[in-house]
Amino acid sequence: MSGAAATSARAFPAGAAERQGLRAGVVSRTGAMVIDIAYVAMLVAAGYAAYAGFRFLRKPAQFTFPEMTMTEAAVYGYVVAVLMLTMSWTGTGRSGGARLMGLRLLGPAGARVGLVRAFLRAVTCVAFPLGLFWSAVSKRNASVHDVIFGTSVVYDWHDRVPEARTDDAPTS
Amino acid sequence: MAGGASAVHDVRMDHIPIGDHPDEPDNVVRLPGAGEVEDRADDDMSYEDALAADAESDDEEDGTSAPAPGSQVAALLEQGMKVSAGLFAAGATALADALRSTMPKDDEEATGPKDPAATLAGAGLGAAVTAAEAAAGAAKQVADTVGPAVTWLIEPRFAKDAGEMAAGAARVLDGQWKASQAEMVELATSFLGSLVPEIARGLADQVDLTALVRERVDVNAIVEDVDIDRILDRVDIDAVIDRVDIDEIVARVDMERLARSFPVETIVDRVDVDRVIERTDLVAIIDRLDLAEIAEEVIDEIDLPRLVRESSGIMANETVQTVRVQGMNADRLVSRVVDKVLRREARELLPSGPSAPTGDEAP
Repeated sequence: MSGAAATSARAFPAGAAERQGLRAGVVSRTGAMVIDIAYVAMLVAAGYAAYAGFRFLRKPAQFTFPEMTMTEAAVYGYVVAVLMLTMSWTGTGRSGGARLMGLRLLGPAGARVGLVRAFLRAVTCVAFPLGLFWSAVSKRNASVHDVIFGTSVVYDWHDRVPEARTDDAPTS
Repeated sequence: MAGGASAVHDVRMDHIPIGDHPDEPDNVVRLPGAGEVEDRADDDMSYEDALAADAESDDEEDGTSAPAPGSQVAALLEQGMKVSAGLFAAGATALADALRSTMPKDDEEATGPKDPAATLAGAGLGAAVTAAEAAAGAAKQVADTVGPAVTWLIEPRFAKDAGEMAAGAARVLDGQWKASQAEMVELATSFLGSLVPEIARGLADQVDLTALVRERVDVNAIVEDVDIDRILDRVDIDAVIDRVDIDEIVARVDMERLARSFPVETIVDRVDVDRVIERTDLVAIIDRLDLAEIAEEVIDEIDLPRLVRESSGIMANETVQTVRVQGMNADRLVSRVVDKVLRREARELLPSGPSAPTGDEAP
């Protein structure tokens, strides 16, 4: 692994290697959030298309596109986003946007986040996304959600997944 | 020789007419004495007997009497005498010519109508010829010759005027010599013609001519005098070239060594590539190429999907890294601005916990 690490470290651009593991700033995290929103929107659209296809196959003669208001779409989006974020954070610690931006969510002890903490944080993030911008002001680059759940988001371009953490109890 | 004779004998035994072959064809080429051998097939005949039989057979066929063994020796003796006389004559003639050229020219009268020296030499030679002829006939003609000679010697004229007789005899002998001079000189010439090459060959065997030439001859001086151009003018180079087997020469050439010592750079420097390209019909060359087949072979050799995957992966990876680095730089910029606005020193960017990833860890 050390050889592979050296190779990987050499592959990093200038300035990237030494910042691995440090708390990420607001711009990177916002980028990740935007990408995640795009993912969610695509997933909702894909679900809508799949539902429409299902309707067409069931009654082709009376086929019409299913009606969906923006509110409904937003609700679907929220649900999809909460599910996606919860699964991502409990698994590898990063969603699609975070993976693209080279970020990872760590628990209070630097380990992976538990399911309950991940779900609650996901609900909070989706309900109050602007809390992310507190990281620009926070001395520890912590968003509101990080402050609430004791998590931190770091630069981590490596594929290695941190050890899982069994402690799901949220701390201050 | 005895073996050869018996072989002849055996061969003839095969042709003995017995039983079924009573008549011998007339067109059979017969060895000399074959009839005699057949007649005496049952006898143990020696080679000498066979020769004698041959001789008898020849005698009977020719109807002439052959000379006896004694007469053959006499003929040989005569021939030898003639050759010796010819040699002597040639030498004497050359000597006389040489002496005559050195002597002062006297009056015609002193020499007389005939040169007495030449006459005497001719007489001597005539005597030799006569002696040869006498020796030739000696075996048979002793009695015939002795009687008249004795009669001639006791002739009163001989006793009376011996000087005149001697002079007359000398003239007769000289005449005889003159008559047979040409034949004898010719004989001597042919004898020398066959003798001289043998002597030369024997000398060449004994003498190391090469060493002799090296020691005695200044070859350089001779070579300097040689007109090479004239020799070259006379040489038919085309004929020489026709006789040369170029293929064999090429097969013996060490091409690798030749290639190593070949001034390729010099030649390449002198080649006008532009001119060569101008004279090249590129369209014709392209027409002869099966581009489709070549392209297929190239594509078969290259794993194109893998190449596309890898290249696109590399491109995506580079793009992602660029975006990440841009994000990092933007993060730092924002932090500094905020920190400056809030008048803070720096941020605590190192997260708590033991397993926080570092830049040294492997992916």
